[in-house]
Amino acid sequence: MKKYVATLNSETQYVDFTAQDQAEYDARQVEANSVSGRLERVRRMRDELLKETDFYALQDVTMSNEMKTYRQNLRNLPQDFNTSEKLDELFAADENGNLTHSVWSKP
Amino acid sequence: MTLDTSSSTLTLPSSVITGQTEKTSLVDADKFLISDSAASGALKYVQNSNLGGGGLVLLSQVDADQGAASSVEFNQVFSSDYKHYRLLGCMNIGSASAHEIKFVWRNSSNTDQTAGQYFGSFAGSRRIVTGSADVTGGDYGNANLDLAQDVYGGNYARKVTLDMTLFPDAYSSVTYTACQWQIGFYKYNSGTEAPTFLNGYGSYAQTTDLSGGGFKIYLNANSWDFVNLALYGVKTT
Repeated sequence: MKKYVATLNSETQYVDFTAQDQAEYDARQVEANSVSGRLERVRRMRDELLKETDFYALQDVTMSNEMKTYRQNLRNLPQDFNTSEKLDELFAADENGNLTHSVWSKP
Repeated sequence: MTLDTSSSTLTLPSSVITGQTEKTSLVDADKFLISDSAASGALKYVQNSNLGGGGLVLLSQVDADQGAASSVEFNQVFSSDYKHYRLLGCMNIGSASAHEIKFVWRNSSNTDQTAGQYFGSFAGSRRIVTGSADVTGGDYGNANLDLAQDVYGGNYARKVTLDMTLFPDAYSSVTYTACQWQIGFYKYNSGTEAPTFLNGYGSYAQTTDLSGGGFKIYLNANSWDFVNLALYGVKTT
């Protein structure tokens, strides 16, 4: 892997990683693709999807059973998809990058 | 060069200026020739540091599309010449997946400052077809600062735009630092991309000497495609 380096009034350098850079990069790649790293992303996505539908919980709005199930499934994501294989299923995407698992489909 | 002794006029050819070597980056000690109106037009010089007015001075830039690069380092760019620094530009990420854009300060030995003392917060909004929604995030006692999370790459249309102000304020040899930023990007959102804009603030609650130092912007995974970032020094006088 390489990096861009700039210093005062100089041309951009495009140089190889040092051994330490490479070790840190490899560690970050491992973390990003780890179960814990991917679960962190799941939690962020879940929180945003729950926020999108929070207004259904207001007293003057009726929440359908389908919406209740959808929101409960979102809350259960970290416990239901806590292995690498299950996370692969959860992040399966079509050719356009859209996630295809049914849990993401809002009723 | 001609000398008219009757009128005491010395005429210099224009090549006195145009024939010299050009300097493209002024420093404080550079000098300009002036006629001092307070001393009967006597020739004197003024140092660049005394021209005044303040402003932004381009210090360094990365304008590159040379291939995959996972980090961008601005090394040894801080000095006592500037009060603050401004980073402006845009980037593109090569991979069509979610990324975190991270930031760390670096000292004058180009060593990342990674004590678990980064505290930051960002908030903004994203837009999807059904409407807008809040986006929040940040760090509390982490080893680096997240400028944005779930940044989607893989297409030149998904440009990341950044406007960041850096405050590596020096008091003696000890520095407390802070920064704030605005960032725009496409957010990975359940596979649906969402244009997003965030404002953020970050503090490094660790005393460290950043004089002569810099900073690094990098991704948690994968790599940048193109990078176009310019760093300016802010002069207040």
